[in-house]
Amino acid sequence: MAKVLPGDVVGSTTTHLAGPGTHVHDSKICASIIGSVSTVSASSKSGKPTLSIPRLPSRSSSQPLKLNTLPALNSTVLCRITRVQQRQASASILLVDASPTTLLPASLTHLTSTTASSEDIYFSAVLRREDVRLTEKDKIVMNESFRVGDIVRATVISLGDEKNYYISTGGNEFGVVIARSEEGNAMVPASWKEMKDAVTGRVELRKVAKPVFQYGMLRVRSGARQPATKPTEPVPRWLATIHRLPESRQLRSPTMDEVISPSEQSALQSRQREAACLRHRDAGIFLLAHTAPLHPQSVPMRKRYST
Amino acid sequence: MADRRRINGPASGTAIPIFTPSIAGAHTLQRTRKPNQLRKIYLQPGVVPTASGSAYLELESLYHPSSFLNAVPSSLKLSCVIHGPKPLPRNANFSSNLQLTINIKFAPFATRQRRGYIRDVTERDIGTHVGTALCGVIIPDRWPKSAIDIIITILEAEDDVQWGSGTQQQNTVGGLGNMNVVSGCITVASAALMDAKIDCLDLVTGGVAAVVPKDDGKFVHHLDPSVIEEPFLNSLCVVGYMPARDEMTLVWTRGNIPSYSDGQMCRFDSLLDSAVNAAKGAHVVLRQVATELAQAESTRLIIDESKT
Repeated sequence: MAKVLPGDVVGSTTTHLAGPGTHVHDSKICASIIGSVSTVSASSKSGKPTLSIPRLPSRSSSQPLKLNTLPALNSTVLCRITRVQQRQASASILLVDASPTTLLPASLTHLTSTTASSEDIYFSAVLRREDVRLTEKDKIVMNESFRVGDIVRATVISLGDEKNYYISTGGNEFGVVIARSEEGNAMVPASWKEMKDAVTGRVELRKVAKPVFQYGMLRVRSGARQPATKPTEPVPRWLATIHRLPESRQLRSPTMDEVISPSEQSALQSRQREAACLRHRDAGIFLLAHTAPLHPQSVPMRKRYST
Repeated sequence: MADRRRINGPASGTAIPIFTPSIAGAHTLQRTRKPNQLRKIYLQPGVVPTASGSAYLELESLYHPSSFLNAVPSSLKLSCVIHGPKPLPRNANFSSNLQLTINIKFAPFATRQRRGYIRDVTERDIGTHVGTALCGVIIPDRWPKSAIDIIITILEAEDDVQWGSGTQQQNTVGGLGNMNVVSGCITVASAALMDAKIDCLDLVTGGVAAVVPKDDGKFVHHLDPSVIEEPFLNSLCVVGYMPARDEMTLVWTRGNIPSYSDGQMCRFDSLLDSAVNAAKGAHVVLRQVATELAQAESTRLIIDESKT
C-alpha cells in the first residue's frame, strides 16, 4: 500500500469519515502521521467508510514495542497494582488494548519484572472500591481483591483528572491476571475469587479474571482419564501433560470454561503448547495464555469468541 | 573546596587556543554557491532506539583550503530526541492538549568559545523560537493529559559573525549562526516528530534567507547563508514553513530592510518569500527521508498490512 506522509491528502469528507491518524482541512482528509491508509467500511448502510492511518510498531521485533497508545474510554488495559487502600487501589497502566499484534514473547518479560512502575513513564489509574465488582459492592474488601504487584485486566471508565484515570474490574473477564503468592510463587486461578499457589496449593483471595482467549481457545479437562481428542488423532503432548498434574493444580471449576478446536492443534508449536497448558512456573507464560496464546505468525487471526 | 561532582582537568590549568578578533590582511571568503542553492543536508531519523522518536541532521561543510586561522569550515550538527507522550508531572494542571517541552542545549565544544554546562539565555531564546514553530504544527487534542519532551543537542554550531574580520563587523548584522541553528532545529525536530508518530498537520521545515549588498549598490537574496561566506549582511530571516497548507509557523527577522532605489515591491515580503523557498528546499529532503523511513518500516512489520 502506498505510504502517506503528514500533510498528504488521502480523501474528502464528502465520501469518507476521518478516523484516527488523520485530520480535516477544508473538507479534505489529510494524514497526520506516517503510515498507510486503511479503509473501514461504514457500520450502517447510509454511513460513509472511515479512512484511518493505524499506528503500527515501527521497531523490529527484538526490541520492546514503542506504541503510543493512550488509554481511551472503554478500552481494556493491563495494569500493575501499586497501592491498596481501604477505599481504592492505585495502579500503573502498562498496556492498552493488548492483542497478539502488540504482545510478542520477547517483550513480555518487562511486564513481570518486579521493579516498581515509574510514575513518569506509566499513566496512573485509580480503582475504586465500588468498581471492583458488579454485585455485592458493599461487601468488597480491597485487601481480599488485590495485592500490590498484581497484574490486573481492567476497563477505563473515565479519563479522570490530571493525576489519574479511573478503571473498573467489574465483569467476568476483568480482574487479576497474574499474581504472586506470599511465598513468592506464581498463582493459578481457582475460581472467580480464589487463586492457588502453583507450588504449595495454598489458596489466596483475589478478584480473578476469567481467562478469555481472543484468538483461539483452550479446553482443559483436568481429572479426566481419556484425552479430549478423537481416538484416531494422536494425543498432543501438551494435553497428555495436563492429566499428570497433581490434584492441587486442577484448574477445572464451575466458573471456568476454555475450549480449543482440534484443527488448531496442528498449527501450534511445542513451546506454545506448553504455555497453553497453563504450567505456571513463569508468570509471563501465564500472561501469554490469557492474551496471546498463539504465536501470531503460526495461526491466522480469528474473530473473538463470545462467551 | 574540591569539586567532587565533576571530572575536572588539571588544577594548574591548560592553555586554550584564543582566537584573535582580527587578523591583518584577513582573507574573506566569497560565496561560491548560487544565491538560491542550499547546502546539502544529511538527515537520518530513528538514530536513538530507546526514544519515542529521534533524528540527526548535518549540513554540508564548505571546505575552503586556506592557511589562515579564521577560515575554519563550520557546519551544523544537530541531534534531536523525543520522549513521550508520557503522563504530565504530578503538579501540572489538567490539560486536554499535549504539553510540549523543548530543551535546546549547545554541547560545550559546539562553538569556538567554550560554552557552559548550564542552559543560558541564548539557548532558552532558541528554544522559544523552535517551540513556536512546532506548536503550530502539532495537533494537540489527540493527547489529553500527556506531555512530550523534545531535546535537541547541538553538537556543532555555526559562528555568529565572521571571525578575523574585526573591522568589518560594523557593516553586518549578527545572529546568523543562531538563525541557522533555529532553522536546523525545526527540520530535525520535524523529522523526529514524524519518527515518533505524533499527529502533525504537515512536515514543517526551517529556512533562512539573507539580504546581501552587492557591489553595484543593489541587493540580492541569498538562501541558506553561512557566516563564513557572508561578510556583509543587511537583514536576515528564518521561517518555519508548512508546504501542504502554505503556512508559516515561525517568522524571525533581524536587521534593516534596505530601501531599493528602483522602487520594487515591499522588501519584507520578498525576504520572507526567499526564506520560504529555502524551507521548501529542505522540505524536499525531509520528504525523501520520510518516504525511505516508510519503506523501511513496511519491510520490518510482523503482521501483513493487508490484514489491518
